[in-house]
Amino acid sequence: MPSSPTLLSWLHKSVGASLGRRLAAIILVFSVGVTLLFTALQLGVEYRRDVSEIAARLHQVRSSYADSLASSVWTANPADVQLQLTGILRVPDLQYVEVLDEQGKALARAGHSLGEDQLSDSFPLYFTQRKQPVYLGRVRVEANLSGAWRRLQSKVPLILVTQSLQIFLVSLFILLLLQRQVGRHLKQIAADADKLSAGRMDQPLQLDRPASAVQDELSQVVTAMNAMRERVHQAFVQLQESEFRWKAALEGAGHGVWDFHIQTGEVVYSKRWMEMLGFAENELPHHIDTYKRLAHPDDQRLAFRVLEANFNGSSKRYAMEQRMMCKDGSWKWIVARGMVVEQDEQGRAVRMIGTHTDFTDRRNAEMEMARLLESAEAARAALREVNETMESQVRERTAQLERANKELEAFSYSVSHDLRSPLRGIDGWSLALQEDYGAQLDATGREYLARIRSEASRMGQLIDGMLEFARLSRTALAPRTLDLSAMAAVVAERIRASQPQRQIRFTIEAALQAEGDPRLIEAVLHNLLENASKFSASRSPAQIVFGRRQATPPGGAQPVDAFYVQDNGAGFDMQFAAKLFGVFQRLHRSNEFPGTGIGLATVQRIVQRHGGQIWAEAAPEHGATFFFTLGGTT
Amino acid sequence: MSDKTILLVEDNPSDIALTERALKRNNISNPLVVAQDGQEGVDYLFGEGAYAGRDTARQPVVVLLDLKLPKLDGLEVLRRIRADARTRRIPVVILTSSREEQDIAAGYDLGVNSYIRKPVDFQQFTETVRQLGLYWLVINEAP
Repeated sequence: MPSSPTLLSWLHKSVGASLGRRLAAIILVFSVGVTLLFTALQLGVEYRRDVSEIAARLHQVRSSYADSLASSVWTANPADVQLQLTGILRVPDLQYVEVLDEQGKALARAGHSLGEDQLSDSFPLYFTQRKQPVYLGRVRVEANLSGAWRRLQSKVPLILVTQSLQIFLVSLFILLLLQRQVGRHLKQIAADADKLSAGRMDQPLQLDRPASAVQDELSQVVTAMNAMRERVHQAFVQLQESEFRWKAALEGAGHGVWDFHIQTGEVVYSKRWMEMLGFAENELPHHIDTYKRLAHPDDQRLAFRVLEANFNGSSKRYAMEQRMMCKDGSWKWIVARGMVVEQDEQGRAVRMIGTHTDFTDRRNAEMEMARLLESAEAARAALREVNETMESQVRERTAQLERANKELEAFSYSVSHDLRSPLRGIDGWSLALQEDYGAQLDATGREYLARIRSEASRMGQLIDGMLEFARLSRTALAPRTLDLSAMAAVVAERIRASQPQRQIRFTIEAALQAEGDPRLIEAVLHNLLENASKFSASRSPAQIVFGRRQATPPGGAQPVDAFYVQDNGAGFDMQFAAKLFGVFQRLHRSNEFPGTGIGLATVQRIVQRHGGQIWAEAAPEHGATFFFTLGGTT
Repeated sequence: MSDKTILLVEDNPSDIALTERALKRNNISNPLVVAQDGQEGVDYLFGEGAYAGRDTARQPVVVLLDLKLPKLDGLEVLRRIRADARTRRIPVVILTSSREEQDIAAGYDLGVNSYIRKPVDFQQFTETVRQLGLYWLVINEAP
């Protein structure tokens, strides 16, 4: 029978997996078997019928020929008997007939006895004489069955063909019917299931057949599938929602996610994980080798040492900073965090999930900050060093300066005392000579004496001027607000008093104020007014003005507010202006205008020490104007 | 020694002579004691050293004091004069060579009564005497 396992497996192997083809094959095998069986049965029946027909013919021979044969034998007419036997042999399938007497001796025979495959019949011959049957002998008839066999054989092909055709057609019909009613829908269900597994579950399954169809097995399958689809869809939506939530949270925060299956080496890297390193989503294989390829070798060694603690179960968490190579070959600083989410019975990690966070910018900023701090520290150190050097230099210079100042002081003192002392003697004793013995000298002698005294006096003035200049240069400033107008008035009065014979008109602007050291500024006013007076000696009246106005210093772009002392005296040629303020520089011969050549140098020094400047404008015989500013001019 | 002595503390012989001459020529006949260095001046005032045994109750009416002196300098002499009750009230006139010296002396604030610019001449001297109110102490002898 076709249900045997070997046959099924052979079928399975030879016809493939299609349900329809398998079904057709099974039907074919089964129907061939049935056809053969039925053909055999039919042939058996046919044969039996044929044999019984032959038997019936044999029997017919008895009823047809018994009486006539009996009378022929009774009459002992052998020709007639023989004729009758020949007539019997004309009956189909009969091949031999013999007539035996009461001793069994053959009286007549016709045909040939075959001995086998035969059907035989024998019947007695009675002749009725005077109503008494007289036994005459027996007749034996043999029929040949080979005819029946031949007929049977000739029927076999036809029967086989018709049976086979019938079964084949029925099978085909069943197959088509199955294909139409079941197979097609099964394919649709299968396609739908495929769609389902691919995640497309927007449409419920609807078989391509009238909706009013009865609730058969297919309908139940569809209903069950649709119910399942609905449940899966809901679960899927929930899963998606949950995944969306954590993905949005993680990826939104800039974290890439990794999911490491330790035994297989599979690592699922999220989109952001890839993007962080410049790759597209899924561009890299989801395997630990990807990590090994991209992680910085130094960091990687450390990473696996840390991971080892997770793998062997001694730690469940993982965190470290490491460098990862980007697609373009650059390095990024990544904070990798993770935790063991699955362990085996021994406590070893099976699965870990974690994140990657790019902190390159922060790291760079930190490095930059550290570098800046370092360079700032270096700069500070350098500055400190420079400062120290400078301070020590300044200290050294200050000390030098102090020494120089002390030396200068000592020198000044020495000059003032020691040089002046002999000069004082010359002056004093020449005076004594003049006073005590002047009368004894003639006019020439007295003139020489006067010259000695005059020269001594001039030398004294030079020394005084020099000392004054030195003194003004090194005296500390003690500035305060000064009433220059009042100070100038005092100086002017002094000058007027010292030269009562001259007509000098001082014009002093009121309320001129400035910040300055009173003694030094007094010296400035004294020198300038004295100068003005001296160089206007030939004028009568001499006009001297002290005031304030806008004036442009030499080389200056803007006019500035400057004090000025103006006279109507001898003036000077502007081409010599540069020599005005030099020590011991004089623009006039001393027999014209006596002087040491120190006064203006002293004035300039004082003005400069006050942060101001001094300059002059003049023309020969048209007077001169000296301008000066003070840092604190108001 | 008579009263109303003038003490001149000065080391320069020329200046000493000129001062003596100026005083004499101007008819100032107060006895003049000359100390040729600071130590001698101090010794005279306090009756010590060469002047041991001098009656220190009789002090000069005025001290003319040079600043630059051998041994003790003028400022030190002045300091000692002002530090001792016996001499505290004696007028001291500083003989200066320059305004510089005057500034230095003034800077010490040691109670200088006046300054005379050397060489000492009659005008300056009489002006100083007038300033100090010592005029009646100075003996004027008719020429």
